[in-house]
Amino acid sequence: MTNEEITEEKRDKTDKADKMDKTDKKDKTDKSDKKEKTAGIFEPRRFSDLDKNERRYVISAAFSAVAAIIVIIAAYVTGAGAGFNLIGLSAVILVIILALIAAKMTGKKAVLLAGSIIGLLMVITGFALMATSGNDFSMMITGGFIMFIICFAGYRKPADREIQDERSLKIATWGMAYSWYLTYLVIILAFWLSYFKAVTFTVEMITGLLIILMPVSTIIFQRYFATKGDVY
Amino acid sequence: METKIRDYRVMKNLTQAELAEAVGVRRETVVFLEKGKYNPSLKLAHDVAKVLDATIDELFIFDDDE
Repeated sequence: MTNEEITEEKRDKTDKADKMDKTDKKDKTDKSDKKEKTAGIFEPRRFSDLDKNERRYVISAAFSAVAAIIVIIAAYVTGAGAGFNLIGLSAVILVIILALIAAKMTGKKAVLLAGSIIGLLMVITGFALMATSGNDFSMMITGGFIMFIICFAGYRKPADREIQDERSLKIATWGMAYSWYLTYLVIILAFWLSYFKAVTFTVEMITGLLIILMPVSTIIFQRYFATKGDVY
Repeated sequence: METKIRDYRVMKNLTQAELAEAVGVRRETVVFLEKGKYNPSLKLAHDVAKVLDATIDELFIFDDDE
C-alpha cells in the first residue's frame, strides 16, 4: 500500500466517523426536540411558561368558558331552563369558536383565506336561502360572519404586525373602548325604543346586532386611530 | 409637537426600519414619530434618544417650547 492510498483510507475513515457523529448528534437533537414537544403537549405548564400565542389561546378559552357559564346562568335565572340542550349547544358553539381561533393562530395564510371564503359563502348562501325559502338562516349568516371576521383579520395582517409596540397596543385598547361605548349607547337607545313600543326587537335581532356591531366598530375605530397616528 | 428624529436618523445613517428594530417598535410608529403625530411614552423617547445619541430635548420640540 502506497502512502497516498494510506492517506486516502484515513480520510475515508475520518469522513465516515464525521458523518456518523453528525447523524448521532442529529438523532439526539431530533429525539430531544420530540421529547420537548411531547412534554409541551402532555405535561401541564405554568401560564408564565407559555408563549404569546398559547397564552392568547388559553385566555380565549377561559373567556369562552366564562361566557358559556354566564349564558347558562342567565337562561336559568330567566326561567328558560339550563337543560342538556342548552349546555350541549353552548359547548358545540364554543368548540367551533376555539377551533377558529386556533386556525387563526396557525398564521398560515392558506388556512385563513380558506376560512374567510367559507365564512363569506356561508353569509351569502344564508341570505340567498332566506330570500328564496323564507326560512330563518340567521344562525348560518351570523356564524359565517364570525368566521369571516376572525379569519380575514388574520389573513390581512402583514408579517410585521406581529410586533406589538406601545402605539399598536394603545390603538387596539382605545378602539375597543370606543366600540364598547358605542355599543352601550346603542343598547340604551334600543332599550328605550323598545320600552316606548316604537320598535319590537327580538332576541336574535339584538344579539345579531351586537355580534356584528362590536367587531366592525372596533375595526373601524382602530383603523381610524392607526391612520391618524395616535388616539388623541 | 415637532421632532428632529428624521434629521438625527439620517445623520446616523439609519433607515426607519432599522431604527424601529433598534427600539423594538413597528416601522409605522417611527413614521408617525417623525411626523410628530405620535406622542411616545417616556421609555420610547428615551430609547430613541439613546439610539440616535441625542437627548430627548433635542429630539422633541413641544409647541410651548417654540
